[in-house]
Amino acid sequence: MTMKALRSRFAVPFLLLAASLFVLGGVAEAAWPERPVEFTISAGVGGGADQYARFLIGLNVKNNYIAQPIIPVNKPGGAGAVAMQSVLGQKGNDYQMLITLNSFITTPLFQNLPFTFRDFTPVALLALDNFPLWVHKDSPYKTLDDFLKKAKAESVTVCGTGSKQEDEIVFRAIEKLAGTQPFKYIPFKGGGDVAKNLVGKHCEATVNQVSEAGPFFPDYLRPLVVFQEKRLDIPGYENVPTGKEAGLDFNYNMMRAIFAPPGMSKEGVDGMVGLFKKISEDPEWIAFAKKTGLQREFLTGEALKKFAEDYEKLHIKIMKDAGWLK
Amino acid sequence: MRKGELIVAAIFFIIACVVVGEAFRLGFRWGLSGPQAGFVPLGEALLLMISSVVIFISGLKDKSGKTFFIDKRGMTEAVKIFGTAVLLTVGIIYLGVYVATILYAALFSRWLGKHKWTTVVIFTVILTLAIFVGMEKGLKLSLPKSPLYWKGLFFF
Amino acid sequence: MDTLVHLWSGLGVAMQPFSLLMMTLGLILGLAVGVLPGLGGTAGVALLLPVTVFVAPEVAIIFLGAIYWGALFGGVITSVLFAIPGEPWSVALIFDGYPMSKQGRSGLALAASFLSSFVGIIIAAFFFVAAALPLALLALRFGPPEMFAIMMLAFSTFVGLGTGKASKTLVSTAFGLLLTAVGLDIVTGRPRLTFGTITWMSGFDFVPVTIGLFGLGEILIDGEDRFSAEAREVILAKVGWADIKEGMREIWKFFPQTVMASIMGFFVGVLPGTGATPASFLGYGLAKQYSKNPEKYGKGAIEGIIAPQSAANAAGAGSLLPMITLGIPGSPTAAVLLAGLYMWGLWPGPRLFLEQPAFVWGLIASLFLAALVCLIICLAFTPMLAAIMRIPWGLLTPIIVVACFVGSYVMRNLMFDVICTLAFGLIGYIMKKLKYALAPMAVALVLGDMTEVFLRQSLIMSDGSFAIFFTRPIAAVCMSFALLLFAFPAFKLYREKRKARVSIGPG
Repeated sequence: MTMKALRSRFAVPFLLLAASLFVLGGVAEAAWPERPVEFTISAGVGGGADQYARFLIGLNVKNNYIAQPIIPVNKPGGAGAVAMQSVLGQKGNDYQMLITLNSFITTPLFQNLPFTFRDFTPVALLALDNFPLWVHKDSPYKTLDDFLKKAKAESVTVCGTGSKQEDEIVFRAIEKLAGTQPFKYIPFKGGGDVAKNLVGKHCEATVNQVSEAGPFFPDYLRPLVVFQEKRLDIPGYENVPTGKEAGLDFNYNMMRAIFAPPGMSKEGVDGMVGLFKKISEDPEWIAFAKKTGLQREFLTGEALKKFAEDYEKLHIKIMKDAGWLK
Repeated sequence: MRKGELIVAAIFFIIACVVVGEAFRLGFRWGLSGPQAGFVPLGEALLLMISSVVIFISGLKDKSGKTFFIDKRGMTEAVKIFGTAVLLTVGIIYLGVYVATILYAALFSRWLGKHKWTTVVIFTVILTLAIFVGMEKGLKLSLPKSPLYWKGLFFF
Repeated sequence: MDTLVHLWSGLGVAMQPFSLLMMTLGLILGLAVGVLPGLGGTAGVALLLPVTVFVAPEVAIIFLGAIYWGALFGGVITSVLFAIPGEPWSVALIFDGYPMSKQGRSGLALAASFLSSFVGIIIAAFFFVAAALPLALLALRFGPPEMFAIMMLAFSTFVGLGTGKASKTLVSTAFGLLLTAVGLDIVTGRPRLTFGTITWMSGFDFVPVTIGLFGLGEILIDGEDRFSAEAREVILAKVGWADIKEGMREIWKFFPQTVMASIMGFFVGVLPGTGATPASFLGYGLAKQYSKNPEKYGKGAIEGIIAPQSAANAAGAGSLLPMITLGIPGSPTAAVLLAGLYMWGLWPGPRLFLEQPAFVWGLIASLFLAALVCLIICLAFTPMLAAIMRIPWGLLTPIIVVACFVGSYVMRNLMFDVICTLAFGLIGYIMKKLKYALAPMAVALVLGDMTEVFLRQSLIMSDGSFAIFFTRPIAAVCMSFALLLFAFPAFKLYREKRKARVSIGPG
């Protein structure tokens, strides 16, 4: 028996074995997802959360982090309540996830819904978004003090997205902490509307995210302060002080997180966490975060739950102070 | 026609009453920031209420003797079409879009359309596949699916 | 001169073979999405957004733009043929397009609407080139009070929209307005008319309601009439190229009106937050109010197709203007395109116009090309589309009904919307039989919600005083116009009566 024959005699079964192991291994790894994954979005097409969700989906299309497509499913309405109810109702579904904002915590509280975030499976916190205070470039306010001085003397008109949601929460918190007159708060349906109304001088201040108002800085708008612990890490924003530096010790962020229905299998949860772990390290995501001033975080499981609990406490306090909760 | 007119006017009146009740709960006064949440609905409800009363009164005077449906045959036809649509809706809720479409398209084309069985089968298959391929594969939209799908037994 | 140079270079971008290919592909996809009820241009753009990461931004935007233009063209097809609005803005096309279809003139109705879409987009494109930036800056001056005045302007043209008894028109209007009140109140954040359920918090959406009201309602009416004497002499749809020639003749006949409607539509579209739907209703209302024979409207008048369709398409193009020039999403579609900009690594905003001329001007130039290509595609298919009406009733009806339900679901993915379509199908059928006008209800559904929001936003600004609508110059002008328009029909009526009395008097 020549060496060559020996090799060929063993080579075939060996190759077969290797191939089958590879296939089996592949199958074991590809257990999740076997089907397309639905991504429920609590906003209409084009809304703020929708844009984030579609950005994340675009990253998956480009890099194939999971072999199945991620399908966006918009369920707007009820300040997120409709989307939450729908995801909650799909108990044990490994192919369903929900992109969440702070309304994920505030809406159940304010609307007195029969569930809270605790009923969902935490998947991942991707980032914390910012709340700078924006004024028009032509306005007399150069610092937070200027603005607060005016707000203490008379009721200032401000605008924001929705009612009893993040933007109004920030303004009501400022009201309470700085002791200003009540703001005249005008609710709009989306962040784009809010930015437009500030650029058009129909109100005096907003707390849009950098992703919404940033394009108008410095041509039309000016940020006075950003309500978070660290300054914004974006070129051009280095001189924008934090709330604490400007004399108003208040930190508030928008959580960009993913939750899923209760009762999921372990593979399902692990698969989703793995997906978002990869997304969180995607260079394009990092570039996007850097450009819009997102603080990238990555929390999962118990840590995310703990984070949400702390967030709930913070919101209960603000909402009680504003008289929205008893 | 007269009976239908009166019933519909009465239903609109009842809807208006419900809204008025809700407006009272929400408050309809003129606050510091303009009207409260119930103000606009209250105005609309009052408009609805008054006009439905007007219709009801003029309906009482109607002596034209026209009937609501054209004739008996038209009535059964309308009832059948609506009835199958109700079945389709119930089907979509419990069986998903695709299974419900198969059942509905077959039922309709056979029972109301009186087509041959071969036509019915070909038509049903083409319609269902067209929706499935177009929505799930082409546009990557997810429509409600049957329990079979969730158990991993079928495509939809 | 500068703009012409830019436009020329933009044409260079848009005329590249790959751009042209992607544009045509986008148009066909857009037409398909437009035909499906419920799936609008916005959804089409959003669905295909992820695909565009593989091509250069300037080609990507031409592709996505083409989907949107395609949907603008294609939305009318089902409105005309089956009274199912393919898009929210094609509801106004039902009013006259569907009666025409029933008279066997669907080919002409389609040809006329495609041609008016073309004129609308071309006129919008001219404004884009001529005065994009100044117009966007002007649009910025429209705050809530100004927008409320515009809404009043839209309502004022609808005084004459109802047919039949005034009390019934009032009922439809009030009912439509009330439907928009269901859901979370935007100003207080509290649920309204939701009866303690979460499901009702989503509120009634325009699309499922109108699909039921018009589409399903008409199916019930047709089914009932199927065996009656009049329907026996089935009018087979004329199929042929003659329709296209006649359509062109009609457009030419009403050319001034078409241009006026397009210009009006474009300006309404540029105002952020309104979009094409109010523009199409406004176009229809104005055309009817100032027509020499308004009694023809609603019974298959071709002007009733041309005006709303050219207005809607001009508005659709106009709604992208604030996004392109200033980075402000004027419509949901624009917001999706904005998300696209991030994905392509571009930074939207006032500087985009200066820093990315190939991108911006490529899109603008592609507008002209897309309108032309789309017109050719549509006209080529018109005879085939009209032939759909020849499919036997027993097969066509289930297709339409299933399309109605699927269409009402895909917009918001809510079972509530499917049930809504069913319920409003019955409501539409009953109301139509009892001669309630449905058009005012559809208009109230679109405008009601916006009007209330703008009103209450304005009143927060003014501490509850109505004076705000008359102290701000733009608002004051629009409001005065609206009041005049409200008064006009009454004045006309008074004059006619007086004339009648005078002429009877001496004789």
